Amino acid sequence: MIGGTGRIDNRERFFQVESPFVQKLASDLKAKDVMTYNVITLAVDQKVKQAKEIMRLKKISGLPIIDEKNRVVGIISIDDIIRWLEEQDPEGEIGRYMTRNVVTVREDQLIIEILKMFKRYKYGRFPVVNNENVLTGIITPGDVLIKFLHILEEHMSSRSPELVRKKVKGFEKDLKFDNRKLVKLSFEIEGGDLSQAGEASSQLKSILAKSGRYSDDFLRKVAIVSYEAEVNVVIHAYRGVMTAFISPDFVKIVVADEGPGIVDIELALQPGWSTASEQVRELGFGAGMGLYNMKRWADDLMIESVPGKGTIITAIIYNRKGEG
Amino acid sequence: MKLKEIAELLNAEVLVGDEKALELEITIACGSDLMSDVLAYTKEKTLLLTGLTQPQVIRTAEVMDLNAVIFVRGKRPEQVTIQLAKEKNIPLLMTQLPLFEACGLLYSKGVRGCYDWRNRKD
Repeated sequence: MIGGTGRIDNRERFFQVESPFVQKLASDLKAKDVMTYNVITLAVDQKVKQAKEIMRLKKISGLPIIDEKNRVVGIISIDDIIRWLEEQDPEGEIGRYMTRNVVTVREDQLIIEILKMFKRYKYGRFPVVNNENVLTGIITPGDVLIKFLHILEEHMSSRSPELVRKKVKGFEKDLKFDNRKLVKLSFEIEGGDLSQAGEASSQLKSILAKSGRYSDDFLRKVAIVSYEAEVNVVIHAYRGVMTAFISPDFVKIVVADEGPGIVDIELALQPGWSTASEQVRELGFGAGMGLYNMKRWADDLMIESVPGKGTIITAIIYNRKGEG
Repeated sequence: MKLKEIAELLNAEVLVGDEKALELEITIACGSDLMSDVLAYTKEKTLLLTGLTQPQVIRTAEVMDLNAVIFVRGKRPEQVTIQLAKEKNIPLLMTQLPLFEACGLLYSKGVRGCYDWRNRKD
């Protein structure tokens, strides 16, 4: 890699709340717009083994514990279950093992605040309460991601193909004539459509090339990173959106998908590690080089993923003068 | 070495590429069936030799600015691959030789590898 280092921080699998992209997506959204309404709850006098079974069957990692008036008195998470297992107390009651200092959020609290709280507390979920402190829902970073994807999807599908083409022409004009403006360009990526994989990256590259502002070396780096990210969405996810933020000095690529997510980011970054199908491998991909390649060519790479929900990859490539 | 000399050397059929394209000077090449490896290790202006004939090969060539693609082992690509190469203006050749032999012949004529593994930085 020339210059720069790929920054991967596995502990920070949270939204970049400061990013204008996230701010715009979250604008005016409140907890009640995003939260899951049907919350599974238990009471303090129920057994931990019951909680464990529910969590296993429903594939959830935390359950709010409520009193007879539906007020949150605790939460039981995987950590608590582990503690219970260690005590070898098969008939143990939830009250003894649950976490009592529960951080809750209000129904009308802004998502942007809640995202900051996820980052601060590093909790996987917050119970949502109304003004009477009664439990009405639960919210996870995954719920927020899904909501964001729906917003993006609506945004994309509301445009006809002709409109997109016109927009692209407009962008070319912008790129030629206004060097100070950050130009934004979005492409929809359909999961599973292997024949189209690479089309978005190809378009992005040719638009950037036409501006005549970037070196071949820079264009190639951008193209490789976007291509690998695009192929990843096609291979692994149901659908996604690639957005490029273009300036004279850098290109930032954000690829958000709705899909299975990445369970272990560290592992997925290892060259050769892959979960791709035989069909994908026949196309010369799925050999576990995708994320590794992105890390290799991007100056800055950030991977945020919620298993079972989706992944957001953010990559920045700087246009340095006198390199190449 | 010019692309047309390579075509003769490998007894290759030209699928896409006019007179002008065949004048292209080739100095480095890469042989791989793994497109992600091509993306990781090749530089621009490289000739790619591969046994993969899917359109993804052409997309990879486009993204990487590869200058031509040769299909080995007598694998004839589908029309969609040829069409894409025409659109993207990437010369396509096809030889009966297997990958190892095709690469060996080019190497013996002075064409060199694309990946400077002795000076790898990562």
